[in-house]
Amino acid sequence: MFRSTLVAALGLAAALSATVAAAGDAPLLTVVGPSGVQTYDLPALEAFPMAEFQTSTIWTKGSTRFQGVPLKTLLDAARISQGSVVAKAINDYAVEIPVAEVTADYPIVAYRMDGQVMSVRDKGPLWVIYPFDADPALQTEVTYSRSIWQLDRLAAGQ
Amino acid sequence: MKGAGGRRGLATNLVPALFALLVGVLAVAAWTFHADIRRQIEDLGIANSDSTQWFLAQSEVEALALERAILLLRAEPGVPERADDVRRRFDIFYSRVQTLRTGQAFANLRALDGVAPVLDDLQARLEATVPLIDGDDAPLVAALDMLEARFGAALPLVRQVSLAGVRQFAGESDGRRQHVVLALFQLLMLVVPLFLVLVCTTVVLFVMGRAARVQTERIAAAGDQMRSLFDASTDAILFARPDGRVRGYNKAARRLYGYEPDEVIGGDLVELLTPPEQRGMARALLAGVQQGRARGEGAGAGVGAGAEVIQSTAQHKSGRIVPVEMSWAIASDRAGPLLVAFVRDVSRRVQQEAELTLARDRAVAGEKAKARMIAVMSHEMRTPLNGILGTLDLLKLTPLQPGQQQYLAAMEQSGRMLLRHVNDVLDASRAAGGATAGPLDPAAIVRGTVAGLQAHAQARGNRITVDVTGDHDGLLYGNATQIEQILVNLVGNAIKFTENGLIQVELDRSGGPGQVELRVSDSGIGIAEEDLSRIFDEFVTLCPTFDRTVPGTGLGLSIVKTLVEAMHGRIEVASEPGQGTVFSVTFDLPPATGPVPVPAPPAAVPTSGSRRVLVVDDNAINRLVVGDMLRLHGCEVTEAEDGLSGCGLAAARPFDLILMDISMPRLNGVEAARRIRQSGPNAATPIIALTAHAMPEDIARFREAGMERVLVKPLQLADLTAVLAARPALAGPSPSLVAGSSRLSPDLMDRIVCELRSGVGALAGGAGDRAALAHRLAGSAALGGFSGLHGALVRLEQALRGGADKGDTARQIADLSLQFDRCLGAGGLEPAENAAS
Repeated sequence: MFRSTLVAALGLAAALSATVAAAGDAPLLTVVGPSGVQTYDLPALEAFPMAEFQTSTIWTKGSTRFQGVPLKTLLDAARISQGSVVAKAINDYAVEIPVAEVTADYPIVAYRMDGQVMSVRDKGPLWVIYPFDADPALQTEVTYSRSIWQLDRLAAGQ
Repeated sequence: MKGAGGRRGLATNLVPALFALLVGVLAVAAWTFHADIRRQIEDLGIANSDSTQWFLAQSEVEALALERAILLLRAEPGVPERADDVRRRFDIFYSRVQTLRTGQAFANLRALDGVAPVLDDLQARLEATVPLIDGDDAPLVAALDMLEARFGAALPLVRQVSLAGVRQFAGESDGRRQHVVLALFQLLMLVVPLFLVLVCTTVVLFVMGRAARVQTERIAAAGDQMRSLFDASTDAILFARPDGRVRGYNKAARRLYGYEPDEVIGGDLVELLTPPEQRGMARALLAGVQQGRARGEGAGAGVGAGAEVIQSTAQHKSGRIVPVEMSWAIASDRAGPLLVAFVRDVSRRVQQEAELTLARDRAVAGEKAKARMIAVMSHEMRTPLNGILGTLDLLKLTPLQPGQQQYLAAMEQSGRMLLRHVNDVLDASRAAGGATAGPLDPAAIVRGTVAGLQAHAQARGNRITVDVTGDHDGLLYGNATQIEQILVNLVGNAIKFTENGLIQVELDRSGGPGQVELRVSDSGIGIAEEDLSRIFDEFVTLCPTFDRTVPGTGLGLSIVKTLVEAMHGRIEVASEPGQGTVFSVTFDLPPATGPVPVPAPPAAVPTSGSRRVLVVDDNAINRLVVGDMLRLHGCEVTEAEDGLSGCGLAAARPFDLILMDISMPRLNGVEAARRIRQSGPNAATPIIALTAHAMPEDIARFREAGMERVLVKPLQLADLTAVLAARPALAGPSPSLVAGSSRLSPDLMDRIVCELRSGVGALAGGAGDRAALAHRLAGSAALGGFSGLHGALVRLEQALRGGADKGDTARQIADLSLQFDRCLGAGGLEPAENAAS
């Protein structure tokens, strides 16, 4: 475990050093992929280029601004490039997302809503979210089911 | 018909229009419903019911999970993980309740009665708990009982919301389902007519397809028939565009032109199939096609109406030129006008025509050669004969030994036979001198002609009788010579084929005033029936190889036939081999209006010492003979050896008569006559043509040149005598018995008188062939100028030949002796004039 972490650490660049620097913070996300197990705390996620969009959701009131990391970025970092990725929530809710259906723009793993870090009570700290308003085609049961909140784990699926 | 067609046209137009309208309406309806149904389907797609119901159910789960975590912490209060677990479950449940309270998906749920207060109650419970959760573990553990009660009571609340959600979403889903059912029903309403339309369309298409197939089969059958006709035609058939490209080419064309179809199709009609000299015409024809010139319209030279058959030529692949007949028409198809040419190979016919033409040319050439041969014989054979016979005539009058007289008689007989043969050959086309129409007495001609043939008949032991029957005896107008020739040939023929038999000549004029029938029958050998049809052909002598007792050229009957036809008459023959033959000639002649000229008796020798005659002939013998004959008549003869010198002499002094040969060097007789007629002392002098060849067209030419009569060589003394006698102006005072020829030598005169004396004595004695003797004596008397004696001798000869009774002939002979004695005097033989010279 340590070994693979080390290998993974050696394999990562600046993002990884940020993880090390913020070692005191609680890790928010664990990613398990071909390149090993990686954990990210908020600064580590924030170190990635940030994506943001404004949309309403069926679970929130009014239009909301989401900021986060594109899921694709995280999958790339974990070298998950095919098959599907299994996303799990704190309450063990799990959903499978085909990698092929993950675009460079969405979904994002949002860590801020309306500029605020999200608490668990507020579906935080991480929420996989789609720009529903931008494309009606996203307003489907499948997309809704993949919009997993209180995300804490990603793992390469079968 | 037209009305029905119109109605049908309307129906055929209206049905598709209605059909199109129906399809259009259905399409619009389908589009409308389609949009509605798609929206329904999209609503199903944007589902918000399944995940929300799941959410509601999950909320109950989360509430239970919180309850469980609280119970677990109460069981193990000292374990910090249990406390963290309570906090996490609280947060999760909190998040749920927040979502239920604020999420859009639950707006309808919240609007339901009783739901909002429940949610508020739950929120209040959560808010009241937040300080404990956010605080330390100890107070949390201490408040566990309270928390357990608080959230244990919350469970029914969550369930209540959840059940309300189920009810609400079930209702919504029911409405939506009904909506979908309605939409589907509407769709069905649309689909059924559409299906019917589809079925109708299919049926119509099927029917149309079958009709089209039938039509196609019919067209294909017609096409096959056309193709069969096209290929079975014996004429070559070509289709070509106006630019000359060949589009069609049948099997006959392949035979005619030698090209395979793929060599020609698309190729140039003019370059490939037309000989160079025909190409201009072919181009013109194609240009006519381009201008759409149809049959018969705008027909120009060469580009005529298509209905005409053009004689032309075609070019075989090998370069051979083939004569063809061509007709053409203009057709057209989608690509434009099309020339349809029908071409027939006529090389065989052309070849046959060429052979026929050649055969005809040869025949014509043969005819020409024959005519030329006749002309040559006429001139080249008769000129020397003229010399021979004329000289013999003269020689007879000289003193001869009895042996010499026999030789002379033989020579004369041979010469005359030769002349007769030549004449036979020439008779058909010869125009005998004086062969002109005039009044004639058929009976006299028959009698005279038969009389002349008596001696010949008797020589073969035959007897000739003449019978004239019929009521009509008037004079007729016609050509006496032709009738004589017919009779001479028929009787001559009868004599030839009869020995010691009877020849009957009948003249029957009972048919009408102008109708004449001549019958010549014999008791000779007859003619086999199979030969009857060809005896009138030229040069036919039957059985020439056996027992040739019959001399002849085989032209006699051919000449008769020609003559009879020239008179528009008819000749028939009947014969029984061994019994005899009957020839019958029938012809019509118009009655004569004037008196018949009494033929000048040959004996009437006019004598005149004052007549001056110019004889123009290049043949010295002929000049001598003619000159001597003229001198016998007491003429003063001047001779010229050709036309030019003849003209010179004629210009110098006047003549009473000019005898002109035709064929001469330097200047021919025709031209010489013309010159003499123009001016000079002899412009009015009679000119008589003297020729060996005298075709009818020549006679006209001679007359046109101013020559009034034609004498045909060989010239006989009697002919010349007749000419001189016919000219009273020329006839001098002529005593009945005058020794006319002062130029005759005394020896010759002696001889003539001597012969006459002994001859008359012999006649009186009644010995031998007295007719022949009388004939010979008549010639001598004429030569000696004793015209009265000559006439008496001729009459005697005729009487003897005609079988007159003995008393008549005895009296005639007595008269003759008397006349002879009176002429010459009892004691002297010399005529007075002769003595005077």
